Amino acid sequence: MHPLRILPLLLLPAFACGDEEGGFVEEPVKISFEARVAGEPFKCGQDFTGLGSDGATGTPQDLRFYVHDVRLITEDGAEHPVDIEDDGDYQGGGVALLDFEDGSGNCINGTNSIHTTITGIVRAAPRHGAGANHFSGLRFRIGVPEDVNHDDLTALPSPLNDTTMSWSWNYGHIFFAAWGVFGGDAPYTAGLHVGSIGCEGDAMAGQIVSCANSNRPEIALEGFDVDANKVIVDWGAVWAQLPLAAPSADCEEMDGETTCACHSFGPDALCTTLFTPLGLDWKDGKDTSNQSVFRVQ
Amino acid sequence: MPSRLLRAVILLAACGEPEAFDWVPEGLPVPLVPEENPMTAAKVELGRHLFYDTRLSGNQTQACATCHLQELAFTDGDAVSEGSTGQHTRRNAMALVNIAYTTTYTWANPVLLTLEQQMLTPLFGDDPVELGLRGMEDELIERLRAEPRYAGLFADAFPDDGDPLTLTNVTHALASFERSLLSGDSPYDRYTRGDPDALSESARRGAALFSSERLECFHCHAGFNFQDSVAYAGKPPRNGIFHNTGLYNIDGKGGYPAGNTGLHEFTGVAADMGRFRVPTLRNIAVTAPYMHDGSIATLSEVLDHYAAGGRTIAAGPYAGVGRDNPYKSGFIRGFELTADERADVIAFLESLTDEAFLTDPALADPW
Repeated sequence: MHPLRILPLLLLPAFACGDEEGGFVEEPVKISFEARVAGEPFKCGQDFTGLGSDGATGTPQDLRFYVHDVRLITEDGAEHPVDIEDDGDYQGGGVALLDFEDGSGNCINGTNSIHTTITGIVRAAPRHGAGANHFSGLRFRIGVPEDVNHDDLTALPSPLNDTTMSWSWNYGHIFFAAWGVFGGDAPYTAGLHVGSIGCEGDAMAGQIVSCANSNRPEIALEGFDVDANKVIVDWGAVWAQLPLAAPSADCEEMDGETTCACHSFGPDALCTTLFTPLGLDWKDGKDTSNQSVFRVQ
Repeated sequence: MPSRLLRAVILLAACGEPEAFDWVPEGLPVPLVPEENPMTAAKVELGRHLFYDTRLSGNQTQACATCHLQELAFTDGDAVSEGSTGQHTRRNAMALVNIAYTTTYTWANPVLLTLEQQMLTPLFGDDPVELGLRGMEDELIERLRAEPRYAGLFADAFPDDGDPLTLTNVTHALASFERSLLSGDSPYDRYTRGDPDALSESARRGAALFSSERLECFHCHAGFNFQDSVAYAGKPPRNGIFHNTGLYNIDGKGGYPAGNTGLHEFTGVAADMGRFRVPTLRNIAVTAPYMHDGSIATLSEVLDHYAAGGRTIAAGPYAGVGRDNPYKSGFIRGFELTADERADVIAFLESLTDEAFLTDPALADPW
C-alpha cells in the first residue's frame, strides 16, 4: 500500500472518535423537530381553525410520542443507525420521548417541560471537512421496541418510566398521543393513543409473548439534511379525516363528559380515521408507507 | 457466578436457615410469588400502611382501601366505583380475596399477570382517573418521605437498599400485602376439614346442587377458590380463561355495552365479545352488587340470570335476550330451581363467608 493512502486512516482519531473501519466515524448528531398546526406553530392554550374534515376549531391537549430505530440515509441509499444518547430524562433505553406540550392551557395531563430534539451518535463517513458526506434522508419508528415495551414500568430507565405515557391497563406504553378539545360552546375531547394491541401473555414465563398488531409506524422522510432541516410534526394532520365540529357517533359519554377516543383497539371507524394519517393500517397494525403527519422543513 | 455463590455462602453462615415467613393459612395451597418480590412480614406490614394511605391519590382523598373495604371482602358495595376526581370506573371493584392465586388480573385483561403490574392502573390510569397519581410519582415519594413512620417501615422491608423509598418498592410492598389477603376459614372450609356441624343441612344440599351437572356452576367456579383461572405451587398457570355468560345481547349478534366488551377490547376478536374472568366465590355474600358491571343486585337475581341461561333485558339501550348470545359459554344452559333449592344454593354461597378474614385486625387500617 502506498504510504499516503494510509495517512487519512491514521489521522482519523485525531478529529473524530470511534472506529475507522470502512472509513466510518462516530459523530454526534442532533435531529430537530418542530410541532405545527398546518402552517402555524403548535401551542397549548391556543385555538386553531380549519381543523378536521369540516374545518372546525380546536385547541391542543397533548402531543407526545416515542421514537426508536432512528436512521440517517446517505445519498447512496445506505442507512446509518443513530444511537440515541442517554440523557437520563427524555432519552434512554434506546428511545427518545418527543414532547411538544408544556402543560399550559388544556394540556393539563402533560408536563411543563418539552423535548423537541433527538441527540445521538451516528456512525458513517465524516460529514464535515474535505470529501464530507451528506445525509439526504431520515427514517425512524414511532413507539417503544417490543423487547422493553412490556417490562416493569417502575424498573425501566427514563423516559420509559413516564407514568403519563404508560398504558398500564394494557401493560405497555402509549407510543403516540395526540389529543385536543373541540366543539366550541359544547366542548368535547378527541384523541388518539397508539400502542400495541392484541397482546397475549404467558404468566408462567412472566412475559408477553406477542402482540397481534404492532402499531409502530415507520416514518421515512426524503430530502432531509440533518444539519439544515428539521422535522415538522403536524398536530392538525392527525384529525384531517375526522369531522370535528360536533362529536361523531363513535363518541362516548361518561360522567357528563364526551370523549371521542381511539385507544388503538377501536371503535373501527374512529381508529381507521386517526391511524391513516400516521401511515398505519388499523386492521393489521402495519405500515402503509403513506403518512401525512411528518414532513421536512 | 462466583460472587453470587459467595454471597449465598455468607448468608447461610450468618443466618443458618432463612427466616421462614408463614403467611398461608391451613388448608390453602402455597401461592406462586414473583421471584423478584418474595414475601416477608416487613413488606406486608409496609404494604398495609400504603394500602390505607390517602397519600397514594393525587389529591390525597382516596387510598386503595377507599374502594376495597375489608368488611366487604375488599369491595366497596357500589355497582361501579367513584375515583378521587369524581370519575367512575366502568366495572365493579373486584374482591381482594385470595388474589395471590389469580393468573390474570382485573375483569378481562389477558396481559396483567402480576399484582405489581395491575396496581399501576388504579394508581396512574387516567381513563378513568382512579387514584390519579399520573405524572406525580416524584411527589408521591416526597409525601411518603415526609411521614415519619415510613422511614423505618421501608428500611425493614427493603434492608439491602440504600434509599428504599422508590416506586418499585411501593408496588412490591402493596403487592405483598395484597397477596397476604388469604381467606380459608369459612364454615365451608371447616366442614371440609372435618367439622360436620360447620354446615347446615340446607348449605350441604346447596353444595351438592352447586356441583351438579344440572346447575353446571362448578365448571367455571372450580376448585378450592371457586375460580377456574388459578395457579399455585404444583399447579402452573393456564391463562386465557374468560367466559361470556349471556349477560347482554344488545344487537342480537352478541353485543355488550360499549366500553365494557371484555376480552374483546384486547384481542379485537368477535368471539371474545363479553368474555370476562371468573371471580372467586369466597365471601361472595358480602360483595354485592354482582357481575363485571355491578348490574345485578342480589345473589338470588344472579341465580335468575343463570337459571334463564342468560339475562333478558326488556327495554332501554341495553335491551336484548342474553340467552341467545352467540358467544355464550356452553355451560350456561339454564335450569329450573324450586324455591327450596334456591334457598339451599344461597345457603351454600353464604357458607363461603369467612368472618375471621373480614375482621382480622392484621388486615385492617394501621393508621
